[in-house]
Amino acid sequence: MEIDLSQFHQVFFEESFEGLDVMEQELLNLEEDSDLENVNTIFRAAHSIKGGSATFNFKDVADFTHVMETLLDEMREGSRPVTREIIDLLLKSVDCLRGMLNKIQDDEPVGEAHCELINSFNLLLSGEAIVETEVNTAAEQAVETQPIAADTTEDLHHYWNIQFIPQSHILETGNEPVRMFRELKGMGVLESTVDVSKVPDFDELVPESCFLSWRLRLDADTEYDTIKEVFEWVEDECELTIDNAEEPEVKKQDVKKQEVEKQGPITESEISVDTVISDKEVTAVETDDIEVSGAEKTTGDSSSDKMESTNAIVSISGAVSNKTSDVAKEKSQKLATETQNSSQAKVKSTAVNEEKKNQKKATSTASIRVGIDKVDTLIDLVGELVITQSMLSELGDNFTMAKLNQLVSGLSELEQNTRELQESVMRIRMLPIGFVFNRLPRMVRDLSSQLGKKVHLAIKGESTELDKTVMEQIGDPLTHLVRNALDHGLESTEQRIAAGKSEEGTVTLNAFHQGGNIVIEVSDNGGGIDPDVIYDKAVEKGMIQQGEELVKEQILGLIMEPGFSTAAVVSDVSGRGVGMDVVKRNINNLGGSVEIESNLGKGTTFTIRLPLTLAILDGQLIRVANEVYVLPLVSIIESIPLSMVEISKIAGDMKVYKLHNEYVPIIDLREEFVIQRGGGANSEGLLAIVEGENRKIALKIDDLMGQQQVVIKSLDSHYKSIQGVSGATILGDGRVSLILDIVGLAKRAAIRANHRREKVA
Amino acid sequence: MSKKTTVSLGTALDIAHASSLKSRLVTALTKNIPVQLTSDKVERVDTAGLQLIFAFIKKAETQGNSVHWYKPSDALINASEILGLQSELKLNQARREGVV
Repeated sequence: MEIDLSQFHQVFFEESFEGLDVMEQELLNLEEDSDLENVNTIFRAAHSIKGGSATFNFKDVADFTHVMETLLDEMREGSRPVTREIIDLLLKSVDCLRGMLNKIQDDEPVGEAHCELINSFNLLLSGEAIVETEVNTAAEQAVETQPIAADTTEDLHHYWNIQFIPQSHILETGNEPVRMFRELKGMGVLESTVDVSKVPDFDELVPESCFLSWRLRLDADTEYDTIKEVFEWVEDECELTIDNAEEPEVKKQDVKKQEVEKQGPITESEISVDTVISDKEVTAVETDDIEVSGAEKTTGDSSSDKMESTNAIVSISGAVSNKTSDVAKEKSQKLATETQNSSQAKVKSTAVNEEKKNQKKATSTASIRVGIDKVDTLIDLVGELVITQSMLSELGDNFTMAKLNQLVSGLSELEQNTRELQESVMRIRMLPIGFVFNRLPRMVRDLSSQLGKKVHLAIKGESTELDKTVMEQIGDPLTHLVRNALDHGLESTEQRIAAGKSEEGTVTLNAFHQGGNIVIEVSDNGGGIDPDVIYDKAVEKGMIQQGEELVKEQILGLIMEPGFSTAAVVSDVSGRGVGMDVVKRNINNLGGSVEIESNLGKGTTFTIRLPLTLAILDGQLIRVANEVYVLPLVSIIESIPLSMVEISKIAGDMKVYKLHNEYVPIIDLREEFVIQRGGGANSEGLLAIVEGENRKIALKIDDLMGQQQVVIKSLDSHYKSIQGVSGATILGDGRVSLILDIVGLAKRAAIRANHRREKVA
Repeated sequence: MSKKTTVSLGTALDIAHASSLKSRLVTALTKNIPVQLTSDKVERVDTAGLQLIFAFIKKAETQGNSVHWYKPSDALINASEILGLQSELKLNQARREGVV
């Protein structure tokens, strides 16, 4: 029976990405203090990726990791010192592998990015230092690889990897490993590595039992069966695996071949064209120009073209072969058939690929790893719930008023259980923020060397948990803040020394829970932000008026406004003035906020406050006619009775309200949602000023009701997406209430206003 | 020079002699002083014998006592090499240093 391996792909990708993260982290650790355990961890990660990719037939990944592994193995054995170059190379490989896996996941070709890294590895392994790790052009690559490939062609040989784990009684049966190994040694060069981990303490050791196991590497030109023969007598008394492995140097040959393959059908067809033409020359057989051009067409893109052209080649080679030597015939035919096969396969696979891609998009869902303790808690709680439920139903069967107290306590127990259950389910979605923090050390490392600054990244509170969705979206803003801290926050080494600070700057990441929020702090001990500079710059940019009174926090907040950048030089890293506003917007979108605190000369701290989860919202219930809506509590700035409000009209029909110095458009929700009738006409109504993404709007509503936490249900999945509504929730009385999306409402209002204006015009 | 005790491994370091050797090694361990293994006459060596010595060296070292080889024979070195136990038995060191 054939097993469909593709069902395991997702797991493989997840594990591999995890493995790559581990490798990256350990590589960074390795740089700080080189420990054998680190190398082992990296090796294991690489090894499992290699194993997995080979299983699933992702040959490029398997080959690449194999070369990596060879180098890591040398490091593990201590025969290769850990240098910065090697770590750089390995880090690049991690990036490259990540890219390759991403491409495979999207069903795209993996490209050739890894080939040059393989070359670098091979250079290293063959004992040459990498002078230039970045090989830029394909031509250079070819030049570099060719001589090596040529060297290794001659002593192309395999070696055998033998794993021999005998059972403990093997020695008593008179089978002696020394003798068996000696026999192997007679065949070639034998290297044995013994595993002594199973040997018990001397006191417990039974001298006649064998607790050793071996990994042998036999460098010999032998057949599998010959080796097997050596172990003939112990076959049933041991675990034995004999693998044919290839020498890393030999691998280069393969790599070279792959490279050619990788260049795809174009190269292949070029070869065929060449062959055909040269054959023609040799034998002076006259063939039609049309056929040759047909062959040349092979280089074209469409697969149908390829089909035609390969046929053309076949016909040429057929014609030629009659008169040419057998060798030439074989050669050209083989090439032609190969091309044909590949192009046929391609036609088929494109169609299948399309289909697969579509399927994949529909089925690929994110998964989450949950600690078993969390699941256990859930099961416990469900157990409790079932008990309470059976108790209540028993009460209900023969209920008398005398049992009222019992009923009340039963119901409160039910409530308690439900709440706990809800909390535990929410906790399942919670992951430690370390997942996000962990990708930062790498960036800091690369960036600090790019900027020439010495930077220490301190991470605290990485076990603080937050919702998976929030975490996915906080990654980019956080990365940006750290980049900023490195580029702008920390001074250059000279400046730091001049200011009497330690040479090495520190960027600290901290996360902790506070109330119902998670707080993430990004702080640096750099130069701090000078409010005066910001103020002047803002005036210059026309963001504020000269002489406007602003408190320090407000001034600092300006750097989060769109189009603001104080960096004297726009660098590669930051300073283009996009970024901080994006950071702020992203965080606001998550229902969070950013605060800046800065002391000149001492450093800057960005404090991000985020809700623990996006699934529950602190809501303000509002009433419009008979309908109840929910507004996110954070978005409300103030509410004013309509009677106290002066409403002006601009641009025809647009009603606005003057709040401090700005005009806020008024949206009448009754109009907006076309609510016909209902009570509340007698009430005077309120104006709720709300803000989303720095845009303020005023909502005309009838009444403010209570505040409560609401569980957000997606409207998309149950109905369809509506602009201005972010979701729905079920209220205590069972009614469905829509949750308003301020930004969407503002956009809706703007569109309608435009329409109206056009009509007027 | 501190005290040390000597254990002679005789001519055969093999499974047949392993048990009796073990009891001699136990006696050496109880003295809680450095041990010298006289092994110049060793001719027959097998896995059981080397495994026993390995466990012994490990044990002695955890007790804080060193174990030295005295003139390890070629047979001994060859067998340990074949089994990949050379460094575990500190025999490569012994040979390089030509330990007395």
